[in-house]
Amino acid sequence: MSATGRRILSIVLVALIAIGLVVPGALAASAASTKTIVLTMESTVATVAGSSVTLDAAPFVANGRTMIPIRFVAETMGAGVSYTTKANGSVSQVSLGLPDSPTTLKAITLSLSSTTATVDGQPVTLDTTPTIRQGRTFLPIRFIAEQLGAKVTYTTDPSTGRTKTITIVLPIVNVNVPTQLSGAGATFPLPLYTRMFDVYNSSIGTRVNYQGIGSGGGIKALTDKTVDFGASDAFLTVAETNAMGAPVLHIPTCVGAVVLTYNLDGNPTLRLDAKTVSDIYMGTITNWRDSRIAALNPGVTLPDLTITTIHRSDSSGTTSIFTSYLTAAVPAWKSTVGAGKAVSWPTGLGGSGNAGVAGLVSQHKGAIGYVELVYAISSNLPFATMRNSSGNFIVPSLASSGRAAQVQLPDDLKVLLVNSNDSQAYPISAFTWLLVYREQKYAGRTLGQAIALKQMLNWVLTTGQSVNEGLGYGKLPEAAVQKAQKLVNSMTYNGAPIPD
Amino acid sequence: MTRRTFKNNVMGLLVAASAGLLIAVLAVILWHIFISGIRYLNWDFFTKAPAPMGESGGGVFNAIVGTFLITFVAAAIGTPFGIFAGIYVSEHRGQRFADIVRLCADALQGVPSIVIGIFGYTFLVVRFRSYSALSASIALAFMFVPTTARVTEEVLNLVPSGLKEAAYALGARPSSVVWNVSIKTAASGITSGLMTSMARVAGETAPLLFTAFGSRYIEWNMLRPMSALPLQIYIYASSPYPALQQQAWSAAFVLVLLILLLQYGAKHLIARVLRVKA
Repeated sequence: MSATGRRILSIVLVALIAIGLVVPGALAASAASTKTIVLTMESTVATVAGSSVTLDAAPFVANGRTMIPIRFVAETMGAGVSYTTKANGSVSQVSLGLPDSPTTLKAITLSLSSTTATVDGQPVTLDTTPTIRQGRTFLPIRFIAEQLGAKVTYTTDPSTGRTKTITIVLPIVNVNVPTQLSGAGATFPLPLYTRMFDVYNSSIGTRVNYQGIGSGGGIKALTDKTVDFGASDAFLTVAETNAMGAPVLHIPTCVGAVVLTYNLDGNPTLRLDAKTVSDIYMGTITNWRDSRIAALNPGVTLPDLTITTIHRSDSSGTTSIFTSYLTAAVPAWKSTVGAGKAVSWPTGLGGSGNAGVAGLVSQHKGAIGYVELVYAISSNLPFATMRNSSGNFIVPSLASSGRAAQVQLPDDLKVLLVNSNDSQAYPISAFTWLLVYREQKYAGRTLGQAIALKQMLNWVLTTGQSVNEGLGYGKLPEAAVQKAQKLVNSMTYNGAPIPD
Repeated sequence: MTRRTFKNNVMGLLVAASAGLLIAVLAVILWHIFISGIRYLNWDFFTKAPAPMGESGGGVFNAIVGTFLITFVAAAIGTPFGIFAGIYVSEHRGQRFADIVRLCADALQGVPSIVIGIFGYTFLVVRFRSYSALSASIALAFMFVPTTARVTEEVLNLVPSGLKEAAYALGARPSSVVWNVSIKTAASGITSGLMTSMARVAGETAPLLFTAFGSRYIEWNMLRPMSALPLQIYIYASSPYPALQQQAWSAAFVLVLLILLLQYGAKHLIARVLRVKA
């Protein structure tokens, strides 16, 4: 190429780079504009940017101030909302996260019984308090609109002199919500997550990249802040919580079952109980023809064959579920082996991952191992029917593991479902969780990332649940979904609730 | 048969058998990958991203794109360093510092790839708060540089000293001799060294586990997590679905084919170099 040609090429390249830098900025600047909201008193129909919107309750005037229902504030102003409730369940405080720029939220807290509100931590005096009417919380609209730099004008009814309509001209804030999220952790729900996030990508357009690196790996990645969310089958230990350095929320996504699978001629369906399984894994039952197995399985001819126990060699949430079950149900197991993601096994061979255990079982005649239900079904492995705490033999299934979650759940949803009291529950069932930091402003994360993450979590808890049963995972019970949504709603960005 | 000829025959047989075994092992591996892999190869396999787990179809286009991008960027980062280090060592043969550099290159070559992976995770991924293909390329460049440096040095050492002396005799400056005589004569040898190094890093899995992270989507942005063939094989082989385990074989087939092509290309170039010299 000639020297002139080279010079022209370099000029063109520089020009292209300059255009690439300037154009997106110009586009972003031109996008800023306003939105007009017109509310009519005592009417549930409002106009937002020219189109009609129905409110869940009509605005009204109290003490000369127009009050509107809180959901309207969230939907039309893009605000994040969270509540503080009193012991009796009634709302005592409302926190709002109002997007006042593309990267920040203005935190406003209003108390139901006080005229003092706070804006970004600074106290502000109101001339009216938020009100509860017909079970809904109403907020003074003018105060909130003005915090967002909106212009508020009124028209009055000439015959009565009262306010008839209120017009709010609101600056539109465009938060750049990314369309990419990444997460890592448990392999137990990996098939579920890849399917869920595939549906999420095709319906919402956000790519969620989930990699199954094991529960321990997922916790490490979240601690190192290299992913948007982690995933684990075991809730965080005290040491892990301390390492995180900030509160972490546990959002359950499904109920899974760990099954005992084995390699015997004819693939008989065996019945087992916690004591027998514990004895097998402790090495006190060593042959399939042992009377303790035979007693549970009348009519099944068991071979004279040595039992080879297979367990996980890696740090595993599945191991945690399995050993937690034996710890809960068998005192001898609790005192000698105990529960954890990795324990010191008295006997047996180790395999890596659910697939590794399934592989070892299918290669060894007389082997027994524990895997997630989906792995057993898709590999055509037989699995045992387990006796639960009520004495019933339960086939592991979506329905029977789902029953295990029909218990009184704590608000933080960090709960073991093993050895459930429910008479029809499969005993080795467990939640698996997505882990996120409650405060989302860390390590340079943007408001957009926080919004994208919150949207994804809410979708997983609602629409995403329809994916569960097609794949062999139990749906979350309604009570768990509600508590989980409350946890998601408690996520903040710089202390302010994150908009939906 | 005398004792001497007996010994000779036995040793001859052992040597031949060992050579045969080497071929047999490679043949068995290639044959198995070929037979297991070719069955599931189709157009979709090369052009589509993976289907969700449990659904049939889908391909590994995401991993093919990833392997090419990560490997080429690693080569782009590592090539100048590797070649310059090689030139330095070759030009300063016998000097203490050159010997130290050579020793370090050999030591770096011997560092297990998993260690390179942890290094990449700690110093790139954690530092920048994100898994990315670029951090994978940088980690792989650490494996690329020492191999390239050693090959460059060895090829440069093969350049006949007569050629260089002739250039000096004509009054050429040292820089001119290095560039116009040594590098130009050894160019194809260096290129083949680069290709061998690329083939080596293209098959690495351990550093990618910690850095590239993997992705089910077709990703072109080097700053985002990305898949690669070895990663995809690892994920598929440990999945619960037989269809994916079969796709792992096909992906292995594609990866081996890619590496063999690079290796063969390199050998071909070396053969040309030797011919030129003769």
